[in-house]
Amino acid sequence: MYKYTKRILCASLASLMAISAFAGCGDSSTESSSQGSSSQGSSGTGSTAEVQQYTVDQMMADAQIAMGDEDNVTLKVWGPQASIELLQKQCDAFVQNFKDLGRTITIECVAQGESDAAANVKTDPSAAADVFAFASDQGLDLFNGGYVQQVRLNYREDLESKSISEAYDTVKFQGADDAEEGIYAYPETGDNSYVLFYDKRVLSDEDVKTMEGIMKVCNEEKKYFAFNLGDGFYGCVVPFTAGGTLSLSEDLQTQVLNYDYDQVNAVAKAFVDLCSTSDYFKSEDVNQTLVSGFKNGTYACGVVGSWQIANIEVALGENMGAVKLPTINVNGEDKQLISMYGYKHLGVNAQTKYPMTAQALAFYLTGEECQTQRCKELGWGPSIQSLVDSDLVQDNIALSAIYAQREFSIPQANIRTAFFNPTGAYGGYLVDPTKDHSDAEMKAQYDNMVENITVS
Amino acid sequence: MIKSYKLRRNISNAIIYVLLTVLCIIWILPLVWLIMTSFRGEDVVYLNNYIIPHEWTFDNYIKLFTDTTVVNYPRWFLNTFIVACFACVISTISVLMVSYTFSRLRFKSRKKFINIGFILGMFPGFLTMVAIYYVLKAMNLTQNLIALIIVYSAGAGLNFAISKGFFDTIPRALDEAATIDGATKNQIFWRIILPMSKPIVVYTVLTSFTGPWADFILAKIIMGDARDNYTIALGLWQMLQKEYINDYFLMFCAGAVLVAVPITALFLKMQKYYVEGVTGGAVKG
Repeated sequence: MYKYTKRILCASLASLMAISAFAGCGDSSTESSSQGSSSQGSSGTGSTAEVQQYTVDQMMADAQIAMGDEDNVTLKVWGPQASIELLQKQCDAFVQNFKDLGRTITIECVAQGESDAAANVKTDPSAAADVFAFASDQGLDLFNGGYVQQVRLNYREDLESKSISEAYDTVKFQGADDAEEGIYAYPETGDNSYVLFYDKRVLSDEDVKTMEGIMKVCNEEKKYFAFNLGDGFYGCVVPFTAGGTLSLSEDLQTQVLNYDYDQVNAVAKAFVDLCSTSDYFKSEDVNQTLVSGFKNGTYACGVVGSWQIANIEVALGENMGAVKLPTINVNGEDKQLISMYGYKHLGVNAQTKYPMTAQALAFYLTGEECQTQRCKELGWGPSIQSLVDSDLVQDNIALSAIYAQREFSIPQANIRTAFFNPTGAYGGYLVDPTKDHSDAEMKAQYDNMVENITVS
Repeated sequence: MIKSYKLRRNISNAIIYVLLTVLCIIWILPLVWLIMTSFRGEDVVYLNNYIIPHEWTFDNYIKLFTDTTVVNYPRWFLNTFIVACFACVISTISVLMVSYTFSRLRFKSRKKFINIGFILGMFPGFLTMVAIYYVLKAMNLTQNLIALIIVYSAGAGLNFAISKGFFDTIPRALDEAATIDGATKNQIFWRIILPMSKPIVVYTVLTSFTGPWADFILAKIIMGDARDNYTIALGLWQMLQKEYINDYFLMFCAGAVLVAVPITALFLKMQKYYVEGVTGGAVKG
């Protein structure tokens, strides 16, 4: 009897272990959003347009005055790995200029991705870089914690006049006690967003205009459409397309969602009907799969950000197509998908020992000259309006598609970190075919999202 | 109810073996996948609907050690190796000495120390990581390998429980005999107890080596942006970030396979002592 019991026990324990090993199966991963990644874009094509430039010489002359009596300056700059070489070259030019003027400056550029720049600055501001690149969704956190310095007043006017207006808006912050808005970073790029990339051999220019057209071809051709609605950065398309916008409470501590449930639900239902019923719609981490999918021909199209342009170009070559996001049919009406549009900025560490030099450097690094170089060599979209309008950007298929989407987007400002995960969970739920999409459940999921975002 | 004992036994054995086989496959599959992917020649990296590479290559391993401008794997490997070796030696000695002290010596508040040790040992080390960081910063020790060695070996003595248990099983008669022959406590520890405790020494060496070898959290917070001082765990994590993953995923797999090499080598080398130590016997009736 004892032996018998022991065997049953063994067997049941073993099966328990086996079952627990499967516990993770079927759970689609919803990676938290991390918007700021390095964009290793293509080399920009086309010639540089005539751009009204605040020349480097003028800038340097201003900087010479602005830097006051700071000398023997040592600065550290953080930028993503892909840009380090160019960044160091640009910094060396800055250093050389002042060497000739009798100042000693040493600048070290260290690789540090923009997506976790804020987290690293917060860990230990005194060990962080004096000038660092970050994605615009981190701006609020950095401002609230007092980690970034306000931009010098004499740079403001220039930044305001030349930057894309939304880019400039995303660096404006006003605390509850502040008399007026301040500018807390230097806009560096204007392309930190996503559009639809597609394989021209599978989809025509006409197909990619609507979600319905894309899904029809994907289902027929048995090729995938990757759109990571399970990530808040992309998942926000659902409420935004329904006319939703974001704002903040007065103390900047709580997210305010200006959503209308009926409208959001209508768009949500359109996604449910179109996407959750198809085997060829994939909500997954596009950064990991899309490029490989294009390479082996199993993917027809996908929505991903500017940082993948170079990789997709390699995978698809001349068959690469890029357009603004498609429309979706909501109750008979074609609605343009509205995306979240981010920027990347350079911030000056509030604890830097050499604030004036650091500010001058950040201003120089985000100026026309440096942005043009980055656009040509790294394919980064500029944040300066005149450069955006130039051939440099307009002749580049992918970049021009991204800037075209800007018209149909909500700037990535006024966003608290708590926004992303619940929004992603909601988006992921909508397109997950295994979930219950009854009216009651849809309402419950929506309420859950709103509660989780606004609770903090 | 099946009457035949033999049949019953066979059926239950069959079920158990099937279950164990399934478990075994589940456990081994990720390893097989990792090793196979590390030899993959085609650059379709993340769509894994097959395991066996269509094209076999060693390039991923070669590139790992030659293409070091962005991902400096050899440097990270060496860093980790240095840290793990130092931490291993220091922690092993410290753990064994503390255990011996608690096992053999009798002094006031011995019990209290043991209790305090147990309680402190229950808190995971990373709970104090922010405090550790600022203490190290005050000593100007952040972002270098010495900091890691200190962090990994300083608290090691708290893990005395298992080796103390082992020492408790060695008869005190041996200590007494040695004392009568004129040996000091120090001599007894090094010359008599340690040679008889090979299994526990080996166990301690292995655990104190693998801890630092695989740690991520403390290394991440201490190293910050000092990429040249990164350890393997940090480096491998870096290779999976979205700016790197498309270019470095296959190299990541190769790197992950190589991580196992030192630990495996250490284990194979020390494995035989596991058995030898206990069966040696000292006091014979």
